[in-house]
Amino acid sequence: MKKAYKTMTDEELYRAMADDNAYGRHCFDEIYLRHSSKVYTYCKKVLGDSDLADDLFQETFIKFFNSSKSGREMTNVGAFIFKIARNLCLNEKQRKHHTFVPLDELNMPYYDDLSDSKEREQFLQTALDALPRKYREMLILKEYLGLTYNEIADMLETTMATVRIRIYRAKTKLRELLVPYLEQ
Amino acid sequence: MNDGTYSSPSEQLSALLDGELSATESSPLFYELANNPELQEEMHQMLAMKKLFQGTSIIPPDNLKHRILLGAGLGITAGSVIPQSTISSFFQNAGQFLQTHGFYMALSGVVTGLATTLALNWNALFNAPEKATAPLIAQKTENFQTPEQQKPEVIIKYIEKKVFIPVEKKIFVQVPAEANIASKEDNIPIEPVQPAFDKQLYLASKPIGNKNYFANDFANNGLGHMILPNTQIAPRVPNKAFRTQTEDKNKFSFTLRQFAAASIPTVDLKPISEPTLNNLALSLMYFINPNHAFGIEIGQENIEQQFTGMDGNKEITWTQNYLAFWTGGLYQFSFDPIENLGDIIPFTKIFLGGTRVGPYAKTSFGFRLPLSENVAIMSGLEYSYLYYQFQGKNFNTQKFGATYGLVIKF
Repeated sequence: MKKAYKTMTDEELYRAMADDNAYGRHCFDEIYLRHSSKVYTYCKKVLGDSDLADDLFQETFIKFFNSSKSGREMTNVGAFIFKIARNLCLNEKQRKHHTFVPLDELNMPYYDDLSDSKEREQFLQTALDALPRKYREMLILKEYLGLTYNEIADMLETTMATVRIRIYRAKTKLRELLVPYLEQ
Repeated sequence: MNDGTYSSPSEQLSALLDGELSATESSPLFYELANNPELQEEMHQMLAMKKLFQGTSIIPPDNLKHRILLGAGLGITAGSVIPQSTISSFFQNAGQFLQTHGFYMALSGVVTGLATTLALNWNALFNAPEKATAPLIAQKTENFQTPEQQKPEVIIKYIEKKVFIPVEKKIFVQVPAEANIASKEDNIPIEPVQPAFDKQLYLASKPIGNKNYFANDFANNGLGHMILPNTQIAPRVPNKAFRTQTEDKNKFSFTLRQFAAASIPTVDLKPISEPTLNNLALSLMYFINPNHAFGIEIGQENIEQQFTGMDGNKEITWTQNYLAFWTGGLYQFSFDPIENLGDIIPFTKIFLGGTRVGPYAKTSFGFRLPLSENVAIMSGLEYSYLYYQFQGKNFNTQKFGATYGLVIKF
């Protein structure tokens, strides 16, 4: 008898996804339910471009689904999906040569207050876009996706100390931009 | 846990707020915080900044998932990334539904039910004598043979219904509806085939499970209707208890549903008792997975019955509206949710159980509409089949109807 997919681990779901039937489809749905929000947030925040983020998010999950047919063993499905998303985002950034505005040249939009979630979101995105990529990505992984330093280090193939320092620097730079609002 | 090398208390504070500092590492920082107003100010700002990020996780729109499924070849038109209209998606989902095992299971259930019905009624349908030519209207008669001293005004109804009439001509005598029973005489003498009337057996058996049905009622109910002389009615065979067991207690649901159905045969009799719980069913289901569920169901409804038997040397047809309490086991197959129709979940169910007079089966097809994670409404079409015997002969009642109700999952 097949196991209820709600109780299955990501890795069990990934193996079952290879089945070309409704059960495999259910397993994919379950993984999508568990990870889509985080991956989508990552794409949105890293790219900042809504349509492009949508396309890359879509491509991420299609690649992920197709990978299940290869029969490979999976130890961390969440990290694997992020890795796909990250590679796609980096490729896209390199391909389009996204312009980077240094912090000291950045004109932050002014808001009376940030109680409105939409304005706050836009404001944060502008501030994040101003951060160097190596800082921005780690801050996104930490603050939006709630990953631990260890998980971020694994995903970005670096050390925990590097993660800790870069996140601290990212926060410091962001704090400089946000000070007027943080005191409200 | 970290490697413990921090360039400043500020960096240590950042790690603390990220939940990455151990208790050992935190102690000196708390001491520093207590004595350093600048660090306190920094902590307030970092906390405020952290608060800005909270609740900003983004849910991808539904059409993106649809595009992914199509792109991954899980949709009908693989490769297309154009969001589809609701109508075309509906037909795609319907197409997929026709290819599922569940559909073939449901189809097999319906075909089996129809084949069984046909087999059980084969003789009556195809080997019956010439059908009666009596008019389908009720009329009064003056020469009806009422027993003994009573001579009530009775209605004689000619019924053309070859399925249930094994002899050439029958006259149905229907007493007023309140009596909940009718009988019929005909004037064709037939040799008795049943033993003599045993009053004790008769009363104890309560034929057809109807507690309102007693021979003496006809004489003493004040309605002045006929007595059935020397009637022998075979005791009912109690239906065996039907139970299902579930091994786990993970996902359960309660369903309370109401139903309304047309009956074959149809008898023109109102039930004597009409309890509040009539036409209601309550089921408890265990979901092995989202597709398969087993459970038990109890319910109560009126079942119209018509059956023939021997009354002394005469053949008589009885009709009654039996108030049945039924219970049994249930299997339900749920199909995949149809996303473009509000995530409704089509399902098919098979119920096997019994009443006091015989086994009872139901099959239905419908859908659930989830209103929340725990609550859904359901609606569907239902077919019921009650099998019973009378004096060694087989009879059945079939019902077709609709059902609707509330589903609570827990």
